Amino acid sequence: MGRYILYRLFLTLFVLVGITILVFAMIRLVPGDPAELLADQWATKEQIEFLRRTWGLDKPLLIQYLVFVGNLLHGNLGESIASNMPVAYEIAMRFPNTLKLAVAGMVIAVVIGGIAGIVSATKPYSLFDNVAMVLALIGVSTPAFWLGLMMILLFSVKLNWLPCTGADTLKHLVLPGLTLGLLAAGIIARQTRSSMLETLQQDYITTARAKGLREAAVIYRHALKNALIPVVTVVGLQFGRLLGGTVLVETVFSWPGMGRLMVDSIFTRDYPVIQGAVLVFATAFSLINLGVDLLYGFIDPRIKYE
Amino acid sequence: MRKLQGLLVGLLFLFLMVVAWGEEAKYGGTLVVALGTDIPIFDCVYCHGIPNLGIIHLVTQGLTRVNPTGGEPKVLPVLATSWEQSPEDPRVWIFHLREGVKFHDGTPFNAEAVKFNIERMLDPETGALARSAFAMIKSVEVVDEYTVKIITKEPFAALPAQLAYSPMCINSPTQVQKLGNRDYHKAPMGTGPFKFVHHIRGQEILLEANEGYWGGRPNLDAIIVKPIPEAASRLMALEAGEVQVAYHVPPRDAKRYIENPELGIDILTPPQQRRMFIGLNVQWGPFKDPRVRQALNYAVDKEAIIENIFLGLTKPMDSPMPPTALCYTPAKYYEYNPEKAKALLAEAGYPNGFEVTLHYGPGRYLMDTEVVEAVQYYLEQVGVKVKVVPLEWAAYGAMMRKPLEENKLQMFFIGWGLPTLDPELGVGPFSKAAWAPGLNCMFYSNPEVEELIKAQRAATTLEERCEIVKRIQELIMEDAPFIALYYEPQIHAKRREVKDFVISVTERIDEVLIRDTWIEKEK
Repeated sequence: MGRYILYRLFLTLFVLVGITILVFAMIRLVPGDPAELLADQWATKEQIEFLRRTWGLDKPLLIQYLVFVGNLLHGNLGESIASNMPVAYEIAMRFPNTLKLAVAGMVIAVVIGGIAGIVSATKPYSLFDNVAMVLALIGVSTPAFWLGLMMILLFSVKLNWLPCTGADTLKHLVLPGLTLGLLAAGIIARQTRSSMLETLQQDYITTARAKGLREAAVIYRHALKNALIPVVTVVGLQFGRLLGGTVLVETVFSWPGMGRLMVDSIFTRDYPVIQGAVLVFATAFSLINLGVDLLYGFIDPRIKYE
Repeated sequence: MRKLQGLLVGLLFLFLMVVAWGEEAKYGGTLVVALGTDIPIFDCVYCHGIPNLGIIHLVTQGLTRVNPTGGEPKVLPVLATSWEQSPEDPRVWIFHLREGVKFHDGTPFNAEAVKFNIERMLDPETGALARSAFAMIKSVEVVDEYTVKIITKEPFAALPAQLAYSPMCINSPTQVQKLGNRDYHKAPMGTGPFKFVHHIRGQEILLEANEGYWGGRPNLDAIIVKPIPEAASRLMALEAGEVQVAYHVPPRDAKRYIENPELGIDILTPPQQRRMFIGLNVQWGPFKDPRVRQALNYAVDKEAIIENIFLGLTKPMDSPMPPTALCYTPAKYYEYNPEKAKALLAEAGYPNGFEVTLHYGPGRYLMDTEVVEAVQYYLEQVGVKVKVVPLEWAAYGAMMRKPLEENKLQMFFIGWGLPTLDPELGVGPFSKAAWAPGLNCMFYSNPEVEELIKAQRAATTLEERCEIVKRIQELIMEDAPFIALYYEPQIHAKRREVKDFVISVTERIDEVLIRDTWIEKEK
């Protein structure tokens, strides 16, 4: 197990190196650079060149990359061009917000989606099942942007119950968390339902019923546990996606998270911040995937890691 | 008689009480302002974006500022109280400074501080984004505690206006030296009505009233600035009362607020200074012929665009400068006349029009996509087929900054701000010296205009300068290196309980008038 984890972490290292090269090259291939963008309207050619030199953008790409990697090995992500602040600081200011939002969204999604999926599967084609699955479909296909605005309109503007901007208190978390959660709940509900339906048709469920187990025990102890693997996969993927920052929800709720940091940095071509943020996403995503794989082992003892 | 005296004294007492109560009632409260972006960095030297710089100016003020109403005189005092150009040598300017002012850290404001800040801006080591905007300054000399002499390389009539340009702030020299250039933004110290408290990145900036402000303590206790990028969210936060001022309101929402006064929201429409036009690369194919360029100007119905897209909140461009600029003259207005446009095109050898590509960066300017589509339609009516190419702003900017040989722009939609309200930036960019990577990516140059632009710099009286600038405006409008469209309307909104609040012609919260802003308490 320990060896397996080490091996996976070792592989992750390669993924990260690959990602740094990709991101580094991609953002520099896109037209536009920070010197052209930030220099003011009087700027002369010399001034733009000067700013490029200041930020080390005049050097060959390979040298720039080596400098970046060299700093990285010292634990230094560089400094933001737009704010003069260390990239690590910029990320540290945003990542906790994104984490909060992602966790809140996932909890809501798992609770609502999970319950709806299980109940639907136990009573397939019932009224509840039909209504729940239509709602799930709506959840999957509703634009986050629209749902967020509607939430604000109802709960902030009309009812005045909850704030619509800021990220200071738990109250601020409710609307964006709910928006994210409801959208993700749809996917989880549908996945839980289909996985449960499949499991409920297995012979061992029939056996369990035949030996006279209570229906609740059949469903929770025998069916749900076996149906969980695909559900955990979906939850893991969703969580990874949320950790990357959900640009749309963060924009609607002015939530100071990673998604907006990333988009703002792309608009100003703040290369060091883009690189740093992508690196954090990639790491988070890899670790979550690893976590999901390890969870399989707990859920299904037949799965062993050597 | 005694009774009358007693009555008078009583009345006077009552009057004083009412006045005092009125003043008292104005004190207190926190003003929450929503901007479209987060302020990247709280230091004028490294910050970009005029509304952002406007917030910084509430803490670190400038020497001068432009008249917030856009009226006369164009340049008003802040930390400099008066200025004059030396009659003997027009390159020498004397600025008299406000006395007895202290920075927030207690450092006295004086001529040394001014010299320090201008030199900081000019020092290449600083890496100031707007260094070129002050490159005309040769040196700064301290004359005495409250007098400073600024010497320009060539005569430069626009100097007081140029110093009003937002990136020029006067920071406490002690604090800059203590923290160093790069870290100064973490605890900036200025002379403004508000002190910097904190900047939670992406979330809020908190400023608190400066009790010792030279203009008297501000009415407000504090100002919070929040970045709310999405316009719909910004306005809902305004309606919910979470913010009291929202920048950049789409016209359709402005209309809703005007029609529904019970929402308690007032629309602010400060005067305009940004010129919105379609730049024409005059070195490209058909645009080499001025008749073609004039034809396109006649082809577009500016009035209809203003009426239908901007609720009539602005006026069409009739000069390369906005009406709020110094020396503005309505030089030439191209009325909507498609027949004349067709005739001019035929005369130039394009009776069946031609095909052309128009680039723009959607989302940058108010209602830009709608305007570009309208222009496309109007040009189609006179036979000019326009292919519209939207580009992300940075990529678009990179295209514009390319020098003539590599520049692929034919037509492009752009807005030129005039934050100094001065002809120097008003007409200066229409010269070869400003060709891309400078602003002029029309690659326009007219020898007569070039001469006159130099001449206005050297003019020593306002009359002389305006006479020259008038001629420049006429020549540029006649040459039409652009399709002159309109001056971009500024539309902002505030809640009705916010009183005496001014956003200036330059999109900044006025750094002096903010002292008087107050919030009416609920009854």
